Amino acid sequence: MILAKDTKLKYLNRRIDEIEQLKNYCLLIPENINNLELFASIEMIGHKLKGNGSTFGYPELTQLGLAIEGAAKKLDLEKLRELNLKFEERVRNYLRLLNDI
Amino acid sequence: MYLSNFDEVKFPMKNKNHSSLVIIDDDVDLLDLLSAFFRQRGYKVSTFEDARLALDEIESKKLIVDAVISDLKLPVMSGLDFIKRIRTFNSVLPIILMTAEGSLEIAVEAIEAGAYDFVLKPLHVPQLLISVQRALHLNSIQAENANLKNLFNEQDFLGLKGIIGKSAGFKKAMELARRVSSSQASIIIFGESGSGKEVVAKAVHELGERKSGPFVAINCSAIPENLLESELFGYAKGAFTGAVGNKLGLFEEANKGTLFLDEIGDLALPLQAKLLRVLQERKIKRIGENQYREITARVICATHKDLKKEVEKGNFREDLYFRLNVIPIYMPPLRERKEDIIPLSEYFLKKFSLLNNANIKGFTKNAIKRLESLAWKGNVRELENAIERAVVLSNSEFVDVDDLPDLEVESLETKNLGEPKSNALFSINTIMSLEDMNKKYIEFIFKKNGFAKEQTAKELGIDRKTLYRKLKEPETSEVLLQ
Repeated sequence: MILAKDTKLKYLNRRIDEIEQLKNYCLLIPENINNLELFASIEMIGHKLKGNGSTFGYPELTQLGLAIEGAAKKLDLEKLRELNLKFEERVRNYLRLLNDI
Repeated sequence: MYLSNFDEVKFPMKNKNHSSLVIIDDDVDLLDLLSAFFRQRGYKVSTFEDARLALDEIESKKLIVDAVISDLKLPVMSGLDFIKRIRTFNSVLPIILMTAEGSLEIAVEAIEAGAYDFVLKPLHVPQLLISVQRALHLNSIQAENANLKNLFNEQDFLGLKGIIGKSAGFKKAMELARRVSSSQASIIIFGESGSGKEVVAKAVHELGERKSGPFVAINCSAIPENLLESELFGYAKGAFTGAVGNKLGLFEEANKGTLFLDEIGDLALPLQAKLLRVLQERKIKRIGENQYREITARVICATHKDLKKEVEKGNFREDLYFRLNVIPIYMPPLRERKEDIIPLSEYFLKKFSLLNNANIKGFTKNAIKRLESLAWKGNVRELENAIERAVVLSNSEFVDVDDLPDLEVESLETKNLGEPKSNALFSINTIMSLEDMNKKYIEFIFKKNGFAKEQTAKELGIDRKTLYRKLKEPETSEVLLQ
């Protein structure tokens, strides 16, 4: 399914917001005693990304979502930081490509 | 390449739909995407991030919805809980669950809870569209089915559903059916083709002790003689070439119920002998078997023929005739129970309007007059076909004369002169002179042509002056001269 450019831009910009959220959660987790809730929030972000990435034409994001969801379940903060960097890199790259058109 | 809308080439938007959809997902991106996708296809879409809010709207009937698409994993109320709650007050609303959790267990659980379908994320939106279309189709069939059931249940005669008729002839036949339903006596139903003989047979079945058993009907004239025998009596494996297994005959299939043998007058003589034996001994033998089997089915026969005459002609066994003719029930032709035409027409109108999704409310006054004036040579069956045709062809909310088939030749006026079954001009029960017959024939053609003298003369092969003279003869019906 070919989507409108605006639809894709909107989608990717919302991911940028999520990336910022993820960064924030990753910072908060070591200092927070109730960090399980934070991991659960990250898991939910990963779950949604897994569910919508391919639908918007980004199967790589679906794969990243799956990995983020899995790492959050395992409470693996290091992995989450690493995945979030990849996530950011991919999204910014997609945005650049879209804006070049 | 980017399009301003969804790809029209791959997903043409023909046949726009106007159904109402509710989409529930906490993923705002998907909610926006699906909402736009379905709206562009004509759907009325309501979106919710919280299943509880959707549930409240649906339960309070603030929202009339045809189908729901819901995510499984939702923050407050899960998709599964949503389905379970919906099913407490609505058993038919199609709900399609979406989930990124692709396990078989979850899919089974969802379907068991009452989901119509289960779609995996990442979504393939066209697949979801197909699922929605199927769900809506199912929903419309279910609604149609329920409406038809209601329509059927509206009709009530002698406590039976779907039996329509208020004429004296119809009531007499049905009353007799009621009285004999609890007896074991042989019943034979006489009546023209399409007059409702099977309805009487079903009434006997439904009103009697055998109503919990099967009602099996067969038209003896519709099946070749050799096949009919195996249909009625069944056969054993190897009885003849092609008999690869045992087959139950209709006598056995109708055990503890009723076997309705329609058009018994067309039964071949060798089978008549076998039928007589079965009726007397209450036992049958499958073809290719030596073993007798008891039968418990009640046999009801029907025919459009005059069996007495068939006996005289040697076409029907006299002993079978006497065996069957214990309680004869006569179902009059529709032209002899004019009061039934309109109730039946209204019933068929409702039925076919529902089946064809046509918003037809009734008949015009002229259409009613027309329906009442036709002879209905094919009886109720012909009336049913005519109404179905009218419903399909009608362009307005009311069926008019033009929507009804052109059956002028068969108008009642004409039929009063004639015997419908044989399509003769009039019955030759009394011998009349050639001169009288000549006059009757002129009357017949004159009426058939709507009293148009020129056309009548042309059809009779006489000139107009001769026709005028014939019409002025004192014996000619006064009606014709008005």
